[in-house]
Amino acid sequence: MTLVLFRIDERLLHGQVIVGWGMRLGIDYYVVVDDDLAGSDWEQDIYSAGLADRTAVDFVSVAETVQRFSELDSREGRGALLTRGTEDMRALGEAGLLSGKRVNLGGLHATGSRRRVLTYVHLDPGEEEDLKAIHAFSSGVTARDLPAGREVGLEELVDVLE
Amino acid sequence: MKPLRSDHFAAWSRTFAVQGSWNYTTMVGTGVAYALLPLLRRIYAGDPVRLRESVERSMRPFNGHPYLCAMAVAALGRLEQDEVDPATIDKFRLALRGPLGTVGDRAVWGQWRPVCALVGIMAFLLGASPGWSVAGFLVLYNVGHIAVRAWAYITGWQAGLEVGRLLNGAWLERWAEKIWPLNILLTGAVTLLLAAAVVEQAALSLAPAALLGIGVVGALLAFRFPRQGGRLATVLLVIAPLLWLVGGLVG
Repeated sequence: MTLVLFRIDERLLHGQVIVGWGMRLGIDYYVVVDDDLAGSDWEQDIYSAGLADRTAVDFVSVAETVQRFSELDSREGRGALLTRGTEDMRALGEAGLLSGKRVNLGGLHATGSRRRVLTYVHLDPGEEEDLKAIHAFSSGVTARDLPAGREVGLEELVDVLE
Repeated sequence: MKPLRSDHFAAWSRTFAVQGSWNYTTMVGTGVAYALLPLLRRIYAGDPVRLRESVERSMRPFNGHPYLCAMAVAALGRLEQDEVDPATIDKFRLALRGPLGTVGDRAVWGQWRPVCALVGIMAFLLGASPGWSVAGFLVLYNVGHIAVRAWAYITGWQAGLEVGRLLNGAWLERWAEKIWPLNILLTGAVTLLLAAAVVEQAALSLAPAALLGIGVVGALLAFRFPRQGGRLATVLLVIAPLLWLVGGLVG
């Protein structure tokens, strides 16, 4: 099959992703794109502790994702690709990997420089620009925390910020 | 200084209030800091600057299943005691919130709570008084609840940074897998008992064998079409008690 979910969520592998999206979409494997995590065994152990035994996970850097994307996107089963922030997803878009894909914005929580857009999405100006770029590189960006939640388009998110 | 047993008990008991200041900015972060405070006060006794730094660190955003937050509190306390550098503690916090939510949601909300609720409902349908049915549910549920919190705290303190390895494939996960068939069995049994009560109340001339037959056909259809079957079963489980109540009020 192929990667059926591209999601930006700073919590990476957590309940909403594994139980909410994973069970709904029948996800068999996760690809977590994060330069720091790709080189840290103890963090990988913790992040993957919530996965069921039969679910596979790969922790890869952005560069490795670009290099191995055709293999990651053509494995047996259904996969989900996760990035912690907008910057890494934008890098994948710039490498041409998001063509024809829809990107889901899941959870970016409050920090000092971010402004609240939705209860689960807070953005700073740089992230807003990243999202516009990702929108251009892909079939579109929408925010939705869970499959049953309301889908919010990028235009609406930007309206709130402006 | 090493925390005393009384500090551990104080920290563990404070985890019951971990959601008391839940908000969209720090989520349970403040609650985690509140629970950690007895440990931090002991670890940094006589060093107010480091105590303040550690409390500020502990108040940063965190989320996880409320019962398993006890594991986070204990593990974070252990890292503070072991003088792990703050950058690693921050990474640890970020990493831990995912699996604590997933494992807890799946085992407690997904399996244990429905099983206990179904046992309580079934006791009532089989003739127990409402008070005993509710009391049975509360006692049964909280035995599991307290056991999970105690295990989480002890494991978190013993494992520290290695908590991921212990959480992966821990008894809670294995137990959630094993209890799943019981959950389904109880759901079916309660549905049949409710259906029998509604039929009896409506004075329909439906023999028990016919009711069982309908149940078997329904189960086979649900097995063939699980998604639609699941939705229909949910609707029926909501409607049946309402019909029963309305029937009781009218009749």
